[in-house]
Amino acid sequence: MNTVINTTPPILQIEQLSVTLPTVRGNVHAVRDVSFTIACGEMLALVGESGCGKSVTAQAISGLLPSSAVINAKQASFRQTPLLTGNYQQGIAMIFQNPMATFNPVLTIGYQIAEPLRQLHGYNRKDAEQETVRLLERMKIADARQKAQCYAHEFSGGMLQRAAIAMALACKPQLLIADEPTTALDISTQHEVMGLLTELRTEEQLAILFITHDLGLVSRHADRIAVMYAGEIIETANTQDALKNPAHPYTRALLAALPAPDTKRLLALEGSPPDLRFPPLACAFAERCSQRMPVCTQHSPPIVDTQHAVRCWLHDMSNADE
Amino acid sequence: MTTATFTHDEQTGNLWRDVRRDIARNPSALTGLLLLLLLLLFCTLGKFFWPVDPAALDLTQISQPPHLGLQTLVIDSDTALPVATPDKIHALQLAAVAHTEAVQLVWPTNNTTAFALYRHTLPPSGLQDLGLPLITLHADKTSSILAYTDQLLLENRRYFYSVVSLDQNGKSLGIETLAVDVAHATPVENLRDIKTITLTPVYELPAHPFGTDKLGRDLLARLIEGGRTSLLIGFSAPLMYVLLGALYGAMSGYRGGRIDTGMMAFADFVIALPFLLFVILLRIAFGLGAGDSGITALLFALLLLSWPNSARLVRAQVLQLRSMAYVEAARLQGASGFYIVWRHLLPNVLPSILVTLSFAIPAAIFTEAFLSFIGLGVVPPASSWGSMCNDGLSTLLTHPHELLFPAAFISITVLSFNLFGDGLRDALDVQQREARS
Repeated sequence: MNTVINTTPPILQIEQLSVTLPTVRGNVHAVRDVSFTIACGEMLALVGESGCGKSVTAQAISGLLPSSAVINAKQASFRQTPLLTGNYQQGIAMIFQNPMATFNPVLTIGYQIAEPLRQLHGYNRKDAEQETVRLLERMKIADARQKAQCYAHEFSGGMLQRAAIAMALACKPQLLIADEPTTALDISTQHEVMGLLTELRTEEQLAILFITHDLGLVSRHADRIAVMYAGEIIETANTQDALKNPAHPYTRALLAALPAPDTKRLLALEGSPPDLRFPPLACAFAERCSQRMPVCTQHSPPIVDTQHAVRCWLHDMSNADE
Repeated sequence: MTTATFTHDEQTGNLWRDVRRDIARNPSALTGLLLLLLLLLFCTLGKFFWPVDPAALDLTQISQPPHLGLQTLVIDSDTALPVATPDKIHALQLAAVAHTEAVQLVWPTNNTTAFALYRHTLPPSGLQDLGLPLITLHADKTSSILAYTDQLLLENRRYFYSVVSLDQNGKSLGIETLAVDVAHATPVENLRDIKTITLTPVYELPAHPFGTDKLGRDLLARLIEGGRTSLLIGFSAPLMYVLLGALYGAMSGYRGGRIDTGMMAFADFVIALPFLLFVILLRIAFGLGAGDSGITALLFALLLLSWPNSARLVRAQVLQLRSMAYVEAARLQGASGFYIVWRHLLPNVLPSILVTLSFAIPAAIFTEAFLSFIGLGVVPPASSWGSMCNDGLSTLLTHPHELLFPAAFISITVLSFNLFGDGLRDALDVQQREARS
């Protein structure tokens, strides 16, 4: 909840990651120059609107992008070992948006949770079964032994998402990538799932990359927030900092679009994000920005690299000097 | 609480245990399974219970309908048929014992000069319903008796002979009908294999529960032997090529992109290859001559050319499934492509694979029948249900049992597989199961 000062070295380090996806109608530069780090036990929330490259970033890290995708990074390491080599990377697990699709409908939940235990960690059938039940119980699923024999369609959405976390945990990960895990759930189930994630974070020092577009959810659970827009991270800051003093005009617009009890009318941002097949050379947000300056449409803004990193000309000191 | 747990335990559990239970509860699937097992037993153990040589010709019983043991009159066909010349007769009557080699009839002329003789298998009901016209005879003034010997395709049954006396203009003057029970008879030279032949009038012929074909071969023994060929081709070939095609299609769909395009282009190429030409080429490749059985060539041709249909079907479904999160989750866990295809994708497309399979089995059986018909499949005296159907076709009108029995066996096989396949498909559909139970 509160800002946690992490002194541990980052478990995941991504520097200047870019992903280009070839499509029939041209190359889409889905992720451009993205840098961030996550430390053990930290939850980094990657927020942004649909199509801004959040999921592509996650897929690039987990190695799920199609082989046709062009991935470049100045540095990408996980536990000090290089990432993005195309080889299988142990220690990274993922939770997906739709819990119904996370489980194979023709296999039992228990079998699928036990699968990584047996395939990756050499458990025998009996131990894997026991560990599965333990994991399900840990995820607060009542009657876990019986529920392990059920199929996905016999679970409710919230139960499935908790089982999905159990399946992710069966991989014994150090980094958990949660790709909008609560989008398909109702508010109270969302709360349960978030509680479980927070618990894992504190108890097992699990690093979590949490992808969402729900700022309200993030404000209560994440340590830091990285805001993405048009394939770039435009602002990275501690949660409190980012929400209280948003530096980038886009972050401010996002926050202004959040419903609150006293707002009469929500702010809607004019325009739409740029076509990522032809990403703008200057600031990607310039066209929709209310504080646009002449320089914004001419040059790409630098990242003001402080505790509260912003990619905006407004905060560029050298620009201010001119 | 306990009851709730119990019902829940009842509903779910091990997949194969559930499948077994579902099939046990599904009467039609159970019937299909039972029939399949019976057919397999029939083909494997049948020859121990019915040790008749399927290739042996029984010349005493050509195209004999089904019977369990048959009494026959042994006759000497070399000597002239005994002509009975009774002095005084008053009505249409038999001149000798009626048997399948000859029925001799005599009747008085009663000063009428022309007669028409008819044979019918049913009691004639009038002038319009006298049956098969055999002959029209003219009597000269001197004789008071007319005789006729019928040797036309006689069978071991009851016939109704009718004599119609005609006037000068061919008008009917009167009808006389006689019911004749024709006994089975065998010319003595057909019984050569039997050591001690005495021309005793009655002799017991071997039983043929399913009758004999037009060469006198036992149909039951041929059905048992032919079933082995038909079931071998009908099951092994489709099982293999549907599985092969499913794997190929699943791999292609799962890989996607250029690999998919290339693999599917190859599948299209294979579809374009002519099947018959391939069978002939494979016969040459295997060194099979004109009189050799072409079953191996047929099996290989089926395997090589028939898989693309199931490959396309499975690929289309896998294309939908491969972006599902559980596939990505498995990839994230480091599962290999083959593991994902085998463990996650194929079970999801199993229902349509089973449907394809239940269509492929009759198709394979009939392909074999067709190839046997044109001389590229099994070679006589070996048999298969398909080749027996083709043989039986020529005698369909006179001896329908020769076609009906093998056709019935093919139909039962196909039906029982369809019933079982349907049940299995339903049982494997876990999402439907809850709705049913």
